[in-house]
Amino acid sequence: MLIKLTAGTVYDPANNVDGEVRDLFIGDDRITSDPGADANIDAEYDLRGMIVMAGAIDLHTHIGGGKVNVARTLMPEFCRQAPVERSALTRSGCSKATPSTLVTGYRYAEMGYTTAFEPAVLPCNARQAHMEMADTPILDTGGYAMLGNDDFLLRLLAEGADQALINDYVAWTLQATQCIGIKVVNPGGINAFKFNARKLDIDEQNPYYNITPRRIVQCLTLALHELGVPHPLHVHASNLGVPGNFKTTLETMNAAGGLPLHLTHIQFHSYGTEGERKFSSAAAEIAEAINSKPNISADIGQIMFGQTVTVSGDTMRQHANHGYAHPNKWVCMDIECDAGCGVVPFRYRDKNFVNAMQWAIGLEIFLLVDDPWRVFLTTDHPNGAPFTSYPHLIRLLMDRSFREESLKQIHPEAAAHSRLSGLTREYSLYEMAIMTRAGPARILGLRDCGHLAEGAFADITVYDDHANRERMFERPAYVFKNGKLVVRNGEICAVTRGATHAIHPEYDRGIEKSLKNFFDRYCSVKMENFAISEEEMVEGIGSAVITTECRTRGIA
Amino acid sequence: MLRHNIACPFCGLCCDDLTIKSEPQQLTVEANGCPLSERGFSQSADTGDCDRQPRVQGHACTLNEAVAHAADLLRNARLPLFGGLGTDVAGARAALRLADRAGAVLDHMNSALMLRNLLAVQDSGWMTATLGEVRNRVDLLLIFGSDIEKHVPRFYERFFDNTESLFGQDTAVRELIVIGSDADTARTHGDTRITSIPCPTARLGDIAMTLRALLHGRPLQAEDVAGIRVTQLREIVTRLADAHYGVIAWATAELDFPHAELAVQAFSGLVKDLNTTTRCSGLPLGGNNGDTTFAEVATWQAGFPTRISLASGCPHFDPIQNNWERLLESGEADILLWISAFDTQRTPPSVDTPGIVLGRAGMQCEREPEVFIPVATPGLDHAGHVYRCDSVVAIPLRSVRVSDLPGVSGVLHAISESL
Repeated sequence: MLIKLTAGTVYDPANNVDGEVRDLFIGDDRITSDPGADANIDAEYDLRGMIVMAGAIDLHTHIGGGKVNVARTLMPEFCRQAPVERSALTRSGCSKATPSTLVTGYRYAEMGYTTAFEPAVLPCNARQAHMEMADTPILDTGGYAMLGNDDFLLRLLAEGADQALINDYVAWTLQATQCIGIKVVNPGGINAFKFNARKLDIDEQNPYYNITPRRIVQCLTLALHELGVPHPLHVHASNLGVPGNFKTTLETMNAAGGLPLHLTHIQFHSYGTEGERKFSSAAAEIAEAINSKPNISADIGQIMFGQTVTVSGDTMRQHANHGYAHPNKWVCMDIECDAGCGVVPFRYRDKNFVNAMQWAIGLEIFLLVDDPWRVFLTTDHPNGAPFTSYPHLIRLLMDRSFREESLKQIHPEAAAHSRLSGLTREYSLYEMAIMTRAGPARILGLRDCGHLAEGAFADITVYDDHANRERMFERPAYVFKNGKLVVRNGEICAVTRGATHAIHPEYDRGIEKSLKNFFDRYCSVKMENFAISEEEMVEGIGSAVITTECRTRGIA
Repeated sequence: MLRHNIACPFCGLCCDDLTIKSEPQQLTVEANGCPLSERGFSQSADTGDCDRQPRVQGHACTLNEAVAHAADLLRNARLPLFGGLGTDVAGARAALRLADRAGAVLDHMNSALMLRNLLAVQDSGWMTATLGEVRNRVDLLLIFGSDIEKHVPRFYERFFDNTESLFGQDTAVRELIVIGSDADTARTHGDTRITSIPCPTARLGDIAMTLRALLHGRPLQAEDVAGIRVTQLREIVTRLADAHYGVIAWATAELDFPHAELAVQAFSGLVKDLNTTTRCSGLPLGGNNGDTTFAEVATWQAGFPTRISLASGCPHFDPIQNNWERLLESGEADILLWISAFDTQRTPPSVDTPGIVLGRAGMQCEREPEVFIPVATPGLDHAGHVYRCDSVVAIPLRSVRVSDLPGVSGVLHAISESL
């Protein structure tokens, strides 16, 4: 199958293409070179005047695993309010903040997304995460395994284990969970909550292990660096949501010691204590730190106003915030000496001072960070807002007058406190393509995604060039997944199955002896039944693995 | 041949440390068995040829003929009902896919039990722990209801009487309080660690509410509640509040009284209240025939755990209207597709509604259904996944014998293709 995409205006930052009119060719599932005038083209699309980008990549979205299903269980009203009918092509389900898996796949594809990553895979729950993502059609997916609150690692640290042993454990975890990265959530804090600690700052010791969050961040950062895993440690820092937490966030950046570190949903970690209400924006301090530290990247976790549900491994902070639950119901779980799960429904209100500040803080960071390669467009779906609000968020970033109008709607004191009105920056299409395609692919080490050069997966999104960028980004004219047209005029026209991106660093199998001993003595499952093989991924779970290559060990 | 570290799908603990002896006509649990696993692995051991043969209207036929007839019945039905649903993840996925196409209602055979927990969660949430966490942390276990070993036979052995734990705890001094109708006979080790308090099952919610009131220091007029002295309840509250990691467990199947979800809500409220100052977690125990498994898959695919109607083209949850027993009694459902791959004894109800039955080979139905297809058992005849009762861990099942029986998912996909 040979397809020609004729004369679209191409934005492909990975290859330094900034709005050039070009032809693209798709040979089966990959982008191919110009086959020459004599080639037999099977289908041609006239894209004159249209915008062409690689399929978008979401590097942080909660679309699989136990906590999302707990949220669905807790919030049946979401599904009642937004049922989705089956069609000749698509399955029924529901949308709203935690859509059913099938609808998640359809909606992402309809917005031009072709790949998405679940950032909080509990190793003991990895099967479920992958099963849910396997039931998310069209998208390629992947996950980050959560470490840093698991008792195996904390014991290693408490015993003063060699970094080499920690590296082996990290590599074993990536293999056993079929994940592509490692995330740490409130380092040591979820574990501390099980010992009834209610707060844990970066240099406080876990009450049982006498290990600090800083030490956990250091050892995992180093492990990924030494193993050659492209994606740096994905950090949900300590003190989420606590006024004044920006200092903890800055210290977490310092903990990396200059090695690559990714701070996730950084909006929730950029709060000061200025003003009468003791709640203020520290976006300037955070953005300045990112700008001055080339090893640091961040995704925003922008909030949008409305009803959603927050899902997190951070039981310590979710429990502390349960008083804000709207409606008043919530779930917290302690899970398998591995981590935890907290689910708290939340309604962000534009007339609430704190919520309005959160909205402004996220936008401020977007606009104050200079390098679009190190900042990523997320709402921490569904925690800040559902992923379906991305087109609205894109317009806020690309259209200053729209942003000014929106600023008039929020709590007036929040608007007055925010420096947003003074920020004139408007993101360009090229920058947007970096932030939603080229950047995520680069930071995850996905060589064949997020760009449009020969050999890349033919994941391509074509937009009409609307002046209203929200309209443009919510209904692409065409979306191709692996060379197959799956969306036409913003609606699904074919349904495909995706694959799973994972990474398998080499490690010394000797670690399995101590792991087996640990599993036999303390755990509720056997090590042999814990690990997921690539065969199980294909046959039982339903998603084939695409293995990402490691970098040369120890080279940043 | 001996197979080690085999998982058992026959109760909600899904123990994965079994040793199974696999012989051509016989599976035997050689190590780490229990009454439920021994029954489950050995059931219908000597399935002869007749048991392995699909039937239409009582006449032996090929699988293709049975599938075609089932598809005909579903195609012409006004309201198909998918009941039983005793299957693994793959079977649940296939059932939901077929139900979407057929416009069916799906309701698991154990829904009435499952709703005791689900309705409480939907209304107010809860705080729980998984089995592995309990094993390493519990210092005080309070059980509402008595005979949990009937439902989860190895619970105490694996998660309370374990000799080793992660945090240096002397597990021999763990304390157990049992409040329930047969509390006196439950697990009497003659052990001073165990406090047994008799209480009618239907009053367990009242006890939990009283404990909450005492925890909050509310004045009580009553001197006893459901036959238990308030002074004794006050002592229990003190012990829960003093525990480092209390666990409040219940066997959901034991709570067999109207509106038991209110009792579960009371247990969960007590757990949440205790967490203001100390740590405590809830632990719903039980589950079988893939009930938790179905609830998980249905929740991610259709948004609801059970009692789902897809008749209108999109999922509707209604715990009363979509009750499988009601739909059969009222005659609203005109075809029953019954799935029971784990247990030959969980047969379809004997009703006039024409039936398509996917039953574990060896199943004897009281009334011959329109279509009977003997199916493989997950974890015995083929690999698969089932969920534990903590709804977190999906356990991989292995094939422990060679079988030519079709699995539930394969049969349902074939029907789906023929629709």
